[in-house]
Amino acid sequence: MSPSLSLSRVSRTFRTLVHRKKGPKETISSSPLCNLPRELLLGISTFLNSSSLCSLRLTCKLLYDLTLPQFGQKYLETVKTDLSLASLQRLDTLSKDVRLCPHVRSLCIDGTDEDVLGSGLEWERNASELVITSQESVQRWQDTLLRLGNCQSFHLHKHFTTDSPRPANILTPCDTVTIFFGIIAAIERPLRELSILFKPPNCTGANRIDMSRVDKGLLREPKFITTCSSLEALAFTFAMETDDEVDFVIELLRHAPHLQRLRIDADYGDHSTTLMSRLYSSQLTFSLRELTLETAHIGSADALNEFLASFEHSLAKVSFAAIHIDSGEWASVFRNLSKFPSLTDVSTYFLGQAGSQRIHFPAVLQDPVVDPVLRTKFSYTVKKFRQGQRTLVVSYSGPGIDIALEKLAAYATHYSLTG
Amino acid sequence: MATSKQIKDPVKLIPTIPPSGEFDIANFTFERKAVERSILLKNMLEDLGGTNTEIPIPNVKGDVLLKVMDWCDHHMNDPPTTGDEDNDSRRKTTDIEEWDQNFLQVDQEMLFEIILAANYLDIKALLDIGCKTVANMIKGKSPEEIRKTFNIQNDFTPEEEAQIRAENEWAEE
Repeated sequence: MSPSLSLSRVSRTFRTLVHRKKGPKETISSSPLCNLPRELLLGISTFLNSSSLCSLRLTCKLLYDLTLPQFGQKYLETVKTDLSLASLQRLDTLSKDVRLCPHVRSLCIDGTDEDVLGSGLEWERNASELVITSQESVQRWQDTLLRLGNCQSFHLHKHFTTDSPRPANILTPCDTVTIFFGIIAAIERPLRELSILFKPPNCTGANRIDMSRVDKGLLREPKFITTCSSLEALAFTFAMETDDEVDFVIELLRHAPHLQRLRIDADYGDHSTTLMSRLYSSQLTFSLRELTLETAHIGSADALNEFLASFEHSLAKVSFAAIHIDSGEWASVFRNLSKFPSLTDVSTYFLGQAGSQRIHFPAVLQDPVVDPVLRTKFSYTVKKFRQGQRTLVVSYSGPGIDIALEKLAAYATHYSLTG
Repeated sequence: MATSKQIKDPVKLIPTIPPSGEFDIANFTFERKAVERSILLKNMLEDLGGTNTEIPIPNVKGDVLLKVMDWCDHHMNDPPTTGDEDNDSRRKTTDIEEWDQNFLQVDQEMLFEIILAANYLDIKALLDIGCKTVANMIKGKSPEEIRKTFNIQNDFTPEEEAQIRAENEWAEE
C-alpha cells in the first residue's frame, strides 16, 4: 500500500479546500453547492432562467452576492417606466442602492396602457399646454435620474395611446419628450442613445408626434446641446407629416456630430421627402456605421448616393425597408455601395422606384449563391402574389459583400403593383 | 466501469486518493484517446513524450476518476470542442443527451465531485453537462426547496428577504 492511501481518510472538508484554488472568502458552508468554486457556481447560474435565478438569489447571502452582477446585467440594464408615482418610487429605491444602480444603463418610457402615463403625480402645464419642466414632479424624476449615473440611453415609446385631451394629470407620450429633454439638460447627462419610437410595431399610418406638446426651446438650450454631443445612436419612428417634425429631427441630428447609428422610419409621412432632402443638403458630416431607413420616400437615387458617400468609409450596415426612390434606380445605389470599404451587412425589403414601380430580385430564387468559393448565400423570403412569386426580404452579410451588391444591381427587376 | 477490455494505446492513471475498497490498478488503464478528453492530461501526455504512459492524478478520488473516465470512454470519439467557449447555442439550452443524463444519475456528493474533477482535469463538455444538471435541479423550485435540496442555511433577515423580493420584481417585466 502506498503512503498516499492515508489521504483517503482526510476529511472531505480538507479535500474541498484542496480543490478550491481560487474562490471568494473561504467560509466553509454545510452545503456542497455553496462550496463549489466561484467560477463553477457562475457557470451553473448562467443556465438558469429568470425565475430560477430569482429563487436562487433568495436562498443565502453567498449565492445572492455571487449572482448579483449577472442579475444586474440581465434585468437592470434596461428598465421601464410609465412615469407614474409607483414607478418613480421603485426607481428611486433602485437609484439609492449603490450596488444595483450602476447596472442601469438604459431607460424606456413606456406608457403601454391608456391613462397611466405619469399617473399619481401632479403635472402642471403652462398657458400653451406644455408641461412645465420646473415643477415638483419633474424635479423628483430628475433627482432619481441624477443618481442613475450610468443611464445614458433613453427610449421614448408611444403605443396606441392617443394625444387627444386626457384626464388631468395624465401625460401624453409627446409630453414625455418635453419632460425628458428638460431633465437631461438639467442634469447634464451625456447621452449615448436616444430613440423616439412613436410607431408601434406592425402599426402603420398616422403615428404622429404632436409638436405642440414638445417644448422646442429646449432643443436650443446650450446644456441640452452639450448632452447630445456624445450621442452614438438616434432612432426616429413616427410619421413625418409636418415641417415641425422635420425640423425636430434635423435639429437633433445637428447636435449629434459623433453619431454612429441612425434609424429613421417615416411611417409613409408626406414630409419624408422633405426630411431626406433637408438631410442631404444639411452638410452634416457623420461617420455613420449603421443606417436604417424605413417606410419613406427618399428623393432621387443620386441624392441618396451622394449622402451615403459622405460616410462611405465608416458604413458597416445598411438597411432599406419599404423605401421608395422618386427618380433614378436602385441598381445605382447598390453599385455605389459595393465600393464601400467597411460594409458587411445589407438588407432590403420591398423597394420602390419611379412610377409606382417596385423591384424584386427573382434571380436570387434561382441562384442564391454569392461567392461559390466561400459558399456564401443571400438570405431571402418569398411571397406568392397573383402575378407570381416575389422576393421580399433579401439580405446579405459577410465577406464578398461587393459581389453581393453587384449581383443585387444586376438582379433588380421591376414589377408594377397594379400589373 | 472501465474494465480491462482490449486497449490499443494504454495510458495508466494513478490516483493519489485511491478508491474505497479493493484497489486494482488494472482498472486504471485507459485508452489514450479517452484520456485525451481531458485537456490537462492531453497536455501532460504531450509534454511527457510518447514513452511515459503513467500519470499520477492528485485531487481526484479514485472512485470519481473511474466515473469520469467512464464518461471519457463513451465520448472518446466525439468531435473535439471548437474552443468557442461561449458558444450561444450551447449556453441557451439545458438539454442533456440521454446517455449523459443516465450517467449523471448519481448522488449529490458524486455529482459535485464529478464537476470538480471535470474542472480540474479540464473536460469542458463534462463540466457543462454537470453544471446543467445542477441548474436543472434548481429550476422550478422555490427558495426554500432549493435550500432543502442543497442543504443551504438561510442567513437573511426577513427584511433582507423582503428587499430581495422587491429587487426580483425587475426580472419579472
